[in-house]
Amino acid sequence: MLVVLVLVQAVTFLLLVTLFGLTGANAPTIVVNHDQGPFSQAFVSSLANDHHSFSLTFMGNETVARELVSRGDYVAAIVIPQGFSQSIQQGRTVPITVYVDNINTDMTSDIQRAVPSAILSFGERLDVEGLNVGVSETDLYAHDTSFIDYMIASALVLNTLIIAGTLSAFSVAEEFESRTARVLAVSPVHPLVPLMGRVLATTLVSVGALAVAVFLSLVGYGIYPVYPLEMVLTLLLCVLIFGCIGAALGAVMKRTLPVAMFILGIALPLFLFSGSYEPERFDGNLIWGAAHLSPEYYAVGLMEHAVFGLKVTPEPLAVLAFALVGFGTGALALAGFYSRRGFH
Amino acid sequence: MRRGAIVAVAMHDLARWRRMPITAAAAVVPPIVMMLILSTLSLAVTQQPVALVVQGSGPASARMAQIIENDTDAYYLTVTNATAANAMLLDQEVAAVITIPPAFDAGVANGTGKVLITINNVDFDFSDDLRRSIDRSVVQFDAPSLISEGPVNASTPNVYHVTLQEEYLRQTSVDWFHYQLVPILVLLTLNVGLVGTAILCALDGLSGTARMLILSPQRSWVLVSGRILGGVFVCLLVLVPAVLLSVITGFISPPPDQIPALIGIFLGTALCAAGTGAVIGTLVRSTRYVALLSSVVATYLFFLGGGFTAIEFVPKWLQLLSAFTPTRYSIDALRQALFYPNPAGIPLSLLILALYASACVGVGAFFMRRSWLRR
Amino acid sequence: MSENVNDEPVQFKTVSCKVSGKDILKGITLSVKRGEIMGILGRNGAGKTTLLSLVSGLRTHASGEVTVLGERMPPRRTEFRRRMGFVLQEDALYQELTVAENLSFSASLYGVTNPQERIRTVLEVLGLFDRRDQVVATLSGGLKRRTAIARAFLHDPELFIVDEPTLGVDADARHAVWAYLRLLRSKQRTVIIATNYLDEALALCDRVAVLEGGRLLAVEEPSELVKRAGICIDIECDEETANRIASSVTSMKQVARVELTLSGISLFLVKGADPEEVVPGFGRYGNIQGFRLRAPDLLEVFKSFGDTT
Repeated sequence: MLVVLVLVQAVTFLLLVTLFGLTGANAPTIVVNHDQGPFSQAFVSSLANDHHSFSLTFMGNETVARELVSRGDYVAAIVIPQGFSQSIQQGRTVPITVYVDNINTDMTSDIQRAVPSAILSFGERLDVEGLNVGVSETDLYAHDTSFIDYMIASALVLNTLIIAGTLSAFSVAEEFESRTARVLAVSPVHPLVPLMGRVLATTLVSVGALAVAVFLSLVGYGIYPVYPLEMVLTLLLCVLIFGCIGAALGAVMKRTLPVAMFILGIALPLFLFSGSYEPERFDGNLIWGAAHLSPEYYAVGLMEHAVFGLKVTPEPLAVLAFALVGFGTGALALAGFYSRRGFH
Repeated sequence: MRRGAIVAVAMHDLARWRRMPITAAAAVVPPIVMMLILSTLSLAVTQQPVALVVQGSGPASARMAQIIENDTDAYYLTVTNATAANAMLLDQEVAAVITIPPAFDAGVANGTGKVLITINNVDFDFSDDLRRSIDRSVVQFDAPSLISEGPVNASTPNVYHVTLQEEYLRQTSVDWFHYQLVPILVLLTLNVGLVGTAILCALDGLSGTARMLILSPQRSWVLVSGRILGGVFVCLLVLVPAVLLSVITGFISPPPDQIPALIGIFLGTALCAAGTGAVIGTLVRSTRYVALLSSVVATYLFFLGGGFTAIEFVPKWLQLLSAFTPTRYSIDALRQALFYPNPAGIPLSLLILALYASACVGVGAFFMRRSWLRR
Repeated sequence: MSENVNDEPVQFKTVSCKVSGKDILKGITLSVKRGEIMGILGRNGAGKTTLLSLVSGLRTHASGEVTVLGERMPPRRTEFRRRMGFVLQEDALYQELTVAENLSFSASLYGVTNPQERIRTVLEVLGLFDRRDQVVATLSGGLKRRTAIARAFLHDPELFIVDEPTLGVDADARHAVWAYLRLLRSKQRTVIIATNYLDEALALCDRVAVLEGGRLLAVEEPSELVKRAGICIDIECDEETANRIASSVTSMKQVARVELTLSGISLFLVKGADPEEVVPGFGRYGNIQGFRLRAPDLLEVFKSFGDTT
């Protein structure tokens, strides 16, 4: 039951991440096309193909469309007036009405950029006179990675933290709660030895639970890792390391209830902080520097490379792996320290 | 007597919280961390770090560079040379390099001018943001009237033959951070009220005090009400400083005439959170799983309430589910009261929250004896 | 069975109870007199706690009739619980709170008037006043038990239900708890205790109801129980000697039964038998290292009822 609940929470975070990914693109937008002529069709085509900007829904009634936007059901409504194509044909300029749900400046800004971008594309498609400037783009990678897919790969790291961290923390904290840790403390072996045993045992269980999450992610989203072996090794390493971190938390907090709350509560903020949706250095050197305190930063770097062949951190892969191992070692040392200290 | 017993249970729970600092911290720390992280990320969420290399020397190049430099909403710009810009791109200090090439002016003169952009297209979220931004800058070069901060004269012709009449349906615009701050306050309430109340109920089961409560001469609804009231008190103990701090630091500026509504919404949210926690805590017999289950429920309430994403973007079936989620009404009502002058809908939200909380008292009382007697 | 509920505040009439589909109590008929300490004696799993749960209302009986303080169980009104005090098998205290805080909460639930004064009085009687500000988690087992008893006494109920009053406590605490329960009897309070300690039943109870396998074997004074089981003679010897002794006493009318043990043999004498008439002459059967006389323990008391399973 514990494993099921942890898995449910992990899958929930996958769902959350997917929903977050949806907001990055394809703003739900209504198009009311009163014209239906060739140029309005071309304009609609520009909207539809503009850098994943819009998810278009077509309606006939402008009043209804406006109402739906004001209700918050859609982000914007674009109204192409009657006579649009004829006016363009005759070289006249036509106003297009755009209703925007300016619920926050981020969404508003997206629309403010997307519509002109579509207009640029429309103008280039028509090869209108007077266009003097265009854009020439070069990309570092041959193709874009879907935002959702990118986030799913990093979310697998989040899942590993939740599954391995929670199960491990739980098993260690239970030893203290049930006071069996006292028996371990007076045994002739260092408390770290049975703690490691706990971590290894929960690692095995975590691998099983994580396999379910990985299966759902890869099969559900149709993701095929570029380096599957690297992905598997990264996940296994993460399970072990996050298990150690969970053990440390369990030894420090010594209570199952708060430790579970803490891990579940801290996992998502740390995830956002760890290059989960774009290379963390894009957020500035200060934030990027602070992100190095999070083990998820290193794990996400390894995962994105393994799944998509992307380099999302300036540090080489070997450094990321060593840093993760360092976290795990430190966590074990902390667990050992607190497991002894708890009885004095 | 019953009123006294309800308050006694609530004050008793407050005393317990005071003695459980680790559990209290585990409830409070995550939303605070989330708030801190969101506040730092808000600095970066709209702008992308970009390097600008201006190789052209004519007036067109200068004008294009000016357009790009003025778009401070889109770019966090570093103007540098090509070598340094390339190094920054590879080092991930910038997401893209925009280059105005040496032949830009000549190209503009014969209608073939090109702005070059090299993007670290790790994913298309920020890559597309950059593409839209540079497109917008280019459009502004050839059709300045299309991109205007002020009112647009729809009849002004431009080379694209299209102008925009934009109508913003809300009177105020809220920046991303403030927009997200509201659900964080709700998340704080959920963690403390829902998860915390569920844990107190679980601890009653664990320690056997649940039986003593059932054996007392108080009815189940009195005990449940007291537990929920205790949860509300604890929520307020955490919320009030958080809200005051937000007001003092200027993160939120509640309109004076909306303060009663805001108090009502916070109280209603706290009631719903604590009520849900009380139901979970009485229904779930195993204390091991209460924290996990209540955390899962809090997560769903948070994101179905629109705390994590704008509801417009989620699939329709999820939007329908969201309509049945009490936190949706909390978050919407809070945003309405704080940011948008039109208070319509707030009374309905308050009613829904109150009804939900009442239902929690009923469900909790119904199941309390049945569940705790079997422990 | 008396119809006067004032004289007999607790009455069971052919009560049976099932838990998880299993018969735990079968056909129990029992009444508890006002002002007495009634012991419910039985081994683990006999049904003692279940019986107390029926009195407290935590469980519902499957058949028969249970009347407590004039109220047919399960009770319709929760108010009548004000007349009862409970000490459960587990202490059921708020570990993170102090002794005084635990009592204060109970006082508010039970509507105690002048709660601070009453708490002080109760704490002083139980020797806990100096510990009032100590967190319960830091108390010893005995002090926790006393705190639980203090909580039950706070609202001065007519009927006390105490499950295993001295389980896991030290000798001092045991003595204190016993003294307190006797005090309750002197104040004409009715006390029902469940215990599997024969010496506790002997020390405290006016009468004892013996439960085994969910059935009531007997209701009698504890001293009668011991007499029924008879004096026990433990003889330390080797196995061969023990077997010879066992063969030789089969015809002795003073010996009720014989039990071979790891250290030799135990002889249980009938009521009134004189050990001096039994022991002499055993030396001829082999090497006897020693022997002693003692009262029977709880298991031996049960065995004196015959095979009841």
